[in-house]
Amino acid sequence: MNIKIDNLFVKLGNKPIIKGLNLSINSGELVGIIGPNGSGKSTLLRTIYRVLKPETGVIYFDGINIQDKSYKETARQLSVVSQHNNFSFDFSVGSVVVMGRAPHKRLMEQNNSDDYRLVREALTRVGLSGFEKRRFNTLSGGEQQRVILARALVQNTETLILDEPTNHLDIKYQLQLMSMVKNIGCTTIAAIHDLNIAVMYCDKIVVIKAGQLMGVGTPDELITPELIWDIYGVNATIYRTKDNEMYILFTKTI
Amino acid sequence: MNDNSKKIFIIFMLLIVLMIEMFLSLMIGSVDLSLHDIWRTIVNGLISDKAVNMPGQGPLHDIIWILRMPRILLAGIAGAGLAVCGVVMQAIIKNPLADPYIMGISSGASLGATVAILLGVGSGIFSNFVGVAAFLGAVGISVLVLLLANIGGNVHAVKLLLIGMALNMVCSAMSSFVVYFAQDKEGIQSITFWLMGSFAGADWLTLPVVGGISLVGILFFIMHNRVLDMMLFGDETAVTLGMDLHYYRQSYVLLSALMVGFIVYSAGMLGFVGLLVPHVARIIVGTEHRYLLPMAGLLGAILLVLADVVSRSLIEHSEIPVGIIISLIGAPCFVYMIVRKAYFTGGNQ
Repeated sequence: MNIKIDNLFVKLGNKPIIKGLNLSINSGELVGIIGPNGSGKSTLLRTIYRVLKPETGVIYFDGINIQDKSYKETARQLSVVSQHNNFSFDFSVGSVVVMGRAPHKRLMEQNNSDDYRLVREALTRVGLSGFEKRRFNTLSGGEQQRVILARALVQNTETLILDEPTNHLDIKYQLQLMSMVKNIGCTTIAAIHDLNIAVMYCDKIVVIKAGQLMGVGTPDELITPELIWDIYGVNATIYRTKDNEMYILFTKTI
Repeated sequence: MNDNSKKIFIIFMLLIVLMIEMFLSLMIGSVDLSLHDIWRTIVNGLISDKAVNMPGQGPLHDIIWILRMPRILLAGIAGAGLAVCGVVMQAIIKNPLADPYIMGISSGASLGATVAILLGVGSGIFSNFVGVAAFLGAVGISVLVLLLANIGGNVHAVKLLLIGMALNMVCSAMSSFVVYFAQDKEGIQSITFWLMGSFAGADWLTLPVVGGISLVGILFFIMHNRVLDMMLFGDETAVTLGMDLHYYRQSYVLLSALMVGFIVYSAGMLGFVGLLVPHVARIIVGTEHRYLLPMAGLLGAILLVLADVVSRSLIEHSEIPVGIIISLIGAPCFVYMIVRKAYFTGGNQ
């Protein structure tokens, strides 16, 4: 799915967070959004997945303004893995994942055996086969994120948004989750804190600072020590491995 | 047998238990009847061309059809309705401590009853004027909560809860005000009794209304089980899964206010069922609403029918308010279940 963001302004309360942002995302790309804390990464993503409403500006999915679509329609085009998944009631893994079928169901339509087959397949794809009956709240953080990824898979959308999905995960799970996402192969937009993870997996990097676009490009052409200094105010050196992969090393600042 | 058919089996068994329990409870009371008498009287009542609610068709008929059956049915309906509304309220405000009375319904109803009993409002118009006033208080407060919550945009769970609690306090204060200035000892006593709840007032006139509203409401919520599941995931997740919960939340509050309002009208205030039965049901079938709702409804019905039997047979020629019985039997059982089953509703354990 192509996503086009046209002159977007978003406020949280009275505070402007996104200030006139334009961005195009092409079908099939894995796009990483980077930027310092409070730069508006999450706000941008939350506006794309419609939890927040833009002040002005328009977001288009395949050329159609999302405000003209129902939530159900956009939920069939776009799934979300975010960092907040604390439930005050305990669900089984199976019932968490099967909720991904909700946008494909009429209000009173019940889940059928096909839906449960999709749930089993999705859990297998994220490496959690046989987890249906486990209690979600008893899983580790990495497992919980993979359950939510499985829910996004059964939602069967062209586009996936990852809203800082690897926070709280240790390095193994971070790499595992990103590899899975890369393998799924749908258009993906991910807010990522760790620059090395971003350059390792993303086709395109979008840099945001203070609610405005600072740059768009492939990791190779975009990420430089100067840019890192500009957005984070830290010194960094960029190394290359034998396979010409980037590696960013930060220098102590204090 | 897989997990889901096991749950369906348990629900089906409980339905049978409830029916047997209702039948047996016709036997017990100040006059003990034999199964044979009961069976014959029920069949006679069904095939007779006289309406069953006409008295004077023999003592057996009067005891079974006029005295016992309506209150047993009412107990079942009230138990099912309150337990289901408890589940729904816990989903709406995403909090395991919610009960059907939380959105100001309890103090709205109490205020209505207080005004009716102490000031005699409506006493000439309706036979059950206390019930009518309580119904109006309960539903009125819920509507007011919704109207206030709609001012200034999104109606979210915490806002509903806080407004409900604030209105609760206003109503309690107003009740206290009326009680304080009425200086009416007898009136205060009858308010206290009324608030303990009783099925003694059940009759064939109101039963179809209360039963109809409750059953339709319960079926409606069972059909909407996915929305209720979604409420526990929260508004943001719901939007990303294609659902805007604001509208559902409000219509559910309104419907459960109507259900609870009618139950309050015919049986007074019955605490406990709506708060604890949902948890017992969750221990047995888990959080998914499509099993939880029928389970909670059946358990609520079974519990209240039992409590009613106990309340009218424990002390001879006297009746203990059913609210007291429910809490006395129910609460210790509940604590036992929580301790033994290591139950948590979830969250950070």
